[in-house]
Amino acid sequence: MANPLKSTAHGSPTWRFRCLIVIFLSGTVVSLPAVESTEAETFFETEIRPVLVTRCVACHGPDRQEGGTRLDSRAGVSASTVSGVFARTIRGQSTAPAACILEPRLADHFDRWIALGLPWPEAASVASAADKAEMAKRHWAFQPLQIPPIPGDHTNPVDAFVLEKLGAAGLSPSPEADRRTLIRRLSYTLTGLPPQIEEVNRFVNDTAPDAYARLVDRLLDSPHYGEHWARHWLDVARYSDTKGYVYAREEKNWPHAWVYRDWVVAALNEDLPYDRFLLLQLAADQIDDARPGDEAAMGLLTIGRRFLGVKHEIIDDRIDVVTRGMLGLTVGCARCHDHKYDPIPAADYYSLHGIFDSSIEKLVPLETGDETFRKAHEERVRKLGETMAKFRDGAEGRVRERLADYLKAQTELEKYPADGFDQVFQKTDLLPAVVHAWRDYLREAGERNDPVFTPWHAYAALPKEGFAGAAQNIDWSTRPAHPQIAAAFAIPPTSFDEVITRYAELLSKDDADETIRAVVHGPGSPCKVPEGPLVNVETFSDTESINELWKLENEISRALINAPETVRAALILADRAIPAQPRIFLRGNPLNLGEAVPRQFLGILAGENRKPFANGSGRLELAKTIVDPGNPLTARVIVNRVWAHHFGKGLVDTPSDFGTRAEPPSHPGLLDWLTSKFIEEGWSVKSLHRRILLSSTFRQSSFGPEEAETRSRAFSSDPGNRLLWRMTPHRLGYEEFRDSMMAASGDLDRTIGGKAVEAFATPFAKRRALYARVDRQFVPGALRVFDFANPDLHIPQRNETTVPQQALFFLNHPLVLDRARAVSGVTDVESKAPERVRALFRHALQREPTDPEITESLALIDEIGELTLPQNPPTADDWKYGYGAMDEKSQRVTGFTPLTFFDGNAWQGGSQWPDAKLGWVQLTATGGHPGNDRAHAAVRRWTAPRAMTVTLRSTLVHEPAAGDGIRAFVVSSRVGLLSSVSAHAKTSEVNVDAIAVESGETIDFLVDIGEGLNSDQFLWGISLTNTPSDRENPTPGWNAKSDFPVNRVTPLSAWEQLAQTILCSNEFLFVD
Amino acid sequence: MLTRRSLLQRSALGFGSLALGGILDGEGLLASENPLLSRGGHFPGKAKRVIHFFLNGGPSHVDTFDPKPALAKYAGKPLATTLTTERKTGAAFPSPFQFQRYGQSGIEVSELFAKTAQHIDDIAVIRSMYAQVPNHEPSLMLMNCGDSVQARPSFGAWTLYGLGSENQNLPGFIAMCPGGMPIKDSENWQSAFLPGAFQGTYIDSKHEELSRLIENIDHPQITAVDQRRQLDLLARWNARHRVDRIDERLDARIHSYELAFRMQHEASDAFDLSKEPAHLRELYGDTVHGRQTLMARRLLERGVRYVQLWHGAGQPWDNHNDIETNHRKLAGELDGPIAALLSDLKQRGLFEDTLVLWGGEFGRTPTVELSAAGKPQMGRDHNHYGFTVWMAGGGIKGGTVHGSTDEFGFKAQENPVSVHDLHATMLHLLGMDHKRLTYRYAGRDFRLTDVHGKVIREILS
Repeated sequence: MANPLKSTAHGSPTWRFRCLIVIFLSGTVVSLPAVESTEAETFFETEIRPVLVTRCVACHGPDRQEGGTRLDSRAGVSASTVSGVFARTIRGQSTAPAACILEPRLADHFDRWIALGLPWPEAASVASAADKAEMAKRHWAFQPLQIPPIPGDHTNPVDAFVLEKLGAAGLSPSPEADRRTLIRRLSYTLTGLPPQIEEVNRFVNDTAPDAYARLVDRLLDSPHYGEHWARHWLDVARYSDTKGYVYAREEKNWPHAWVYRDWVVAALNEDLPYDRFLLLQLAADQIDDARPGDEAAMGLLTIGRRFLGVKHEIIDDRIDVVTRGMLGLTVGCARCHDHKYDPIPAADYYSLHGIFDSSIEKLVPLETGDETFRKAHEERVRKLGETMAKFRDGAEGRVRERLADYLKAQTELEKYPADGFDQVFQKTDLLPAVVHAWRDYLREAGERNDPVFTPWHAYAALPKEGFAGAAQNIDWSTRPAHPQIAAAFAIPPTSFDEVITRYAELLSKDDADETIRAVVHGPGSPCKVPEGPLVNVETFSDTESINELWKLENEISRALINAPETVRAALILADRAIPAQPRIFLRGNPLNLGEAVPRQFLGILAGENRKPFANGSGRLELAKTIVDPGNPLTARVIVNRVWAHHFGKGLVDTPSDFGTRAEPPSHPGLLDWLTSKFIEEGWSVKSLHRRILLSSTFRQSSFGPEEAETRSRAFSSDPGNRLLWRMTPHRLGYEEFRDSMMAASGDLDRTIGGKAVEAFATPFAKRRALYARVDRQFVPGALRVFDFANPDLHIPQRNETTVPQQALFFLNHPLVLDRARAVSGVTDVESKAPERVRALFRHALQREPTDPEITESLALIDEIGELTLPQNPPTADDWKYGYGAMDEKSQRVTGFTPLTFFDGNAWQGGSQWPDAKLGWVQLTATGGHPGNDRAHAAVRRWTAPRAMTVTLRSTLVHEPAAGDGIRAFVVSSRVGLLSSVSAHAKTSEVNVDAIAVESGETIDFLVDIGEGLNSDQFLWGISLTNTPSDRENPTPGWNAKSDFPVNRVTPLSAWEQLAQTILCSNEFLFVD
Repeated sequence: MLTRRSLLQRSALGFGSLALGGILDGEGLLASENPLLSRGGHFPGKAKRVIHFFLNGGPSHVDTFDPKPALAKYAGKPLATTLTTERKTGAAFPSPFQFQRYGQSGIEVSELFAKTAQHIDDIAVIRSMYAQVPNHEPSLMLMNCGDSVQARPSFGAWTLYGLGSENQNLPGFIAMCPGGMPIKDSENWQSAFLPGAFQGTYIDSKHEELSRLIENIDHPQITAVDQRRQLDLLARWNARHRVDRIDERLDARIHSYELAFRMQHEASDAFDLSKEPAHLRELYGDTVHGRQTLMARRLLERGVRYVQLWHGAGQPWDNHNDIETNHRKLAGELDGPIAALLSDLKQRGLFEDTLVLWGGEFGRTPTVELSAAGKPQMGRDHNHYGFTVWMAGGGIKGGTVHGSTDEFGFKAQENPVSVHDLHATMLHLLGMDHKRLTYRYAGRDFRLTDVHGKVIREILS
């Protein structure tokens, strides 16, 4: 990778010459125009220009020139700095409006810049809205599709476009790859799975001219196609089965994520037209001809991070996934200010914000399984609804009781932090969310000159000093007040506190006029807890009530999560009864409201005739404009994504950014031609695949042209293969190689769909990696090192890194060892050694080994030789390691179950500790750890091999001061409890003399947790000795430590090691 | 065959035109070379590596490094403040701990960190830190990743992205936490949109066996001799496979197996505390924190770039109740190991280029926390308005106090330092300009410090 620190020219002495600024990124290279970078210019670019753009140009630019000042060019700024007006204004020392005052830090920067003599790079001018609009007019991605004539007379248009470019560069394509390579390449690119050896042989021997085309069709018809391509979409959709960090009060698993995932698989398999595919994901709730179950599609919007329930973050995440995912536009950049490069004003961001703010989550059962579940579910929903109604009444009542306090709060808003600040509230507290609801309500009332509030606003505008006098002199003729209000203020107030008191009294009157009563009782009243599910109303009540409600909501979720697969639910968005009226948040801060904007589409795509959305939230209208064939982005973006997955790189290098900073496509004609065909053919993704895969371009060898000189010329002039002079080899991603390792032994479970499984629990799940549970809070290390898509972020293209941790995984991870054994298991041990080698190669690599490979393999087998199993003492067999519970009533151990996983040091639930199912329970030679609850106590079991008398000497150590310690029991299966002790940060001797045991009787050494699970690890050295009277069997006795298996792990046999070596090979991981 | 190096050498002549065509394969480069290779910063940095004691839960500054005698004066009296924190607090709550002046600088430190205080003349105490909200989760994200809400790369990940690691046989960024993970789990050391190779490697330092410390470091099913045989055969096959193929990723992967093989050995050595002399093991103490800190020193010494030492699972320093007992116990676990580390680093000549950071995600209120019923809990609530961190070592001017909180320790007053400022300063010490360390994602060039951050020059040596 390029050195990220050398990404810009300055600071590196070797870069003396004037050169391009090249920024290397994972997967992208961006070149910017040449700039002679000097300190001063850098200073301008980083400190000055952004401020001019975001703070000045709107009023002092091409559109408006307030005070006759223009600040979008050096000349303009110079004019106002010469007079000194500029410097005074930004420090608030002039009569200019407050908006002109800059924070001291920024003002300091301007002072320095002025002192430097206003350095301003020649070419750079601050991009004004008009400039950006002009730029957008020319930007390729915003142009309608230009369907070019197909160049040359080549029969396949894809090839025609590619050859045209190659020819122009003086390069030639590579010959067609061999048949084995082609079937491997096609199988992986369409299904993510290797072909089976029989399939390879059949294809290699199929001489029919349409053999290749039939193979493409067969793979497109495979249900595994949908699985593989669903994973590509799930990267876009930032898929996860969990919500990320939530406070302990909320269930952390989504009940519906897997249902969404299965919907995507099915939609791709049936080749649901892509426009429909998007439409349903955005607005299945509003589409008349949606099929039953289509609501699942809306998981796209609702499987994001929970962001601790902070509404604006959830909305931002939805805007991002929709705009980058579907349109290839980075609209999220316009959250705090107008987009710096693209013609996306902050106003447009908030137009979309309004759409999502007008949509609330709703859990919809799709299939409720049997009658019992359905009834129970309905009962849980009813109970939540009932409690919620009571809760709303209570919360609203408390607001009405404290009107005066909430009105008073409007005069000291700085005391009330923004949404998302998690304070613990009592019922008696003023709630910031309610304070802000009143703020918004009053502000809107002011804007529409609501006669109920004209006096409020008139008095609020008066200064504190001399209030009484000024209050006498207000001219009411231009702003009539509601008569009852006017009457209340017939005698002018002497302070604003008095205004508050009078309003509180008026608004509380039961016999007030209906318009006045509506302020506290009507729809949209700021006393009301807003519509929507719990996550939207959390901040409108005290913490205790909210916790109660979460319990009920969690019961609903958990029942769905734990239900059989016949129960499916969708989490959709539905429109609010009263849509939200969006306002710009200045600098992205919801406490800092700017002007109101309508809910509508992006200006750059809607054009001049843009109209505000009229129906409900506008979400369906948004969806329709996104999939409108006239939209220049949507179809181009998906065509490019599909291309990128087939070739490793898109025609456009930034698949989720088609904005003005995106490089033009490598083959613009090809992109537009494919896109227009795609739309023409009803947005069929499968047809698009066919067009691409049937081309010679896709079938090229990855080795490059045969002739060495041609090859070397191609490589030196186009090492990145941008012009497609060969096929770029494909390195299998995590899912592909895991599935391939399962497939190599024939173990892959090919079931389609269903609930998620644990990927690393043992025995390892044999389902496709697609079905592994994705927990955004705990992405396993193995996935991270293999560049799995971060589920918190929309990932247009995965990184592809090579680090030693990946090699360690292949060498040492239990999954790979498990696979090595399984693959080796497919060979017939009775067959001759060379034949066994052949079988391994056929299964893992779908080919026969060469003679040297056979010889080398056999040499390895020979060198490794026979397994030598480690020797354990004979007394080792008298111990078992498991978990169970201490039944205090019967004084017996119940439910003893042996632990099945041994990692060489410890017995535990699985290869990961704690285990997903069995938790922390673990036993080592010297001690262990109890499980998470008392039903999962750690039990070391000794079985008497014969009748005798033994003496127990043991030392139990519990070290940590944290937590509340452990309980330990010594229990005989025959006579019950022999001894017990509770230990917390101390050492205890646990001894029992002369225990008479019968043959087969067990003595259990059980440890469970104290009152809670916290720092419960322990050491327990145990020895059992025959009492001297036992002359017949003078054995030295038993010792928990020395009898502990030195190695219960069966080492990998020579053949298994050979299988592992093949799985580790580059040939296994790379597809030519 | 062209290598990346030769390509770049050629580029010295024609780099511009190559890049203009947009044909340099960024992805290929990333894959073809180990992204963790060590590289220089924007300018020579005074510090080469970082060790961060993360007192998760929020240590009280007024009980450790920011003495507030006014609290004793106003003990039991309500303070006039409008600052809201997570829970209700009541009257001024003087520190139950004694403060004393230490060293030439005479900086006051409480008895909780009396041993660390012996090094005070090498420490710069920043008493005017502030964060954004008084909740653990966002504050942990801010302190580690520079953003309270969005998924952003952690400081360690940015450091690896910028500088790589000096030892390819060990993970370059290690987060140790005994007994489980802190709140927000692995998000604290995430790489977010940066490649996964830059994320922190988590180690449960409660353990002593190597296989429990590092994932996939070994497996008992095979002997080292046999594994070498496997690797030799693998190398031969991979070399044969490589012939005629045009793909540097193949070389990178071949190389990575050899690195991994060496890592197995190097890691077992790095974590093997029995190789330390007895007097040092004694100095650090044979406790979880003593061992964890000593392990950290062995890692730093071997070129690991960033080691983060968490106090324990969850949020141990979150003492809403009985701060006297709880803080005394926690500080008792840390003070000795920290002092031992500082002495040990100095002894080895590592102190000059190792940056030591001490702090939590925020501080605690100078007022006493109240129960729902209004009863004092003898603990303190979260306080993000003002708190203390300290740094020592590479490039730090020791014996310095920077900034202050108000009379009571509620809010940063003089020279307030944001978390972005802290990050900018740390990057600066490592030789990186926080404004130029950028990564393009989602159409933007992201920085650790976003659009903020100012290097605190006053504490630089």
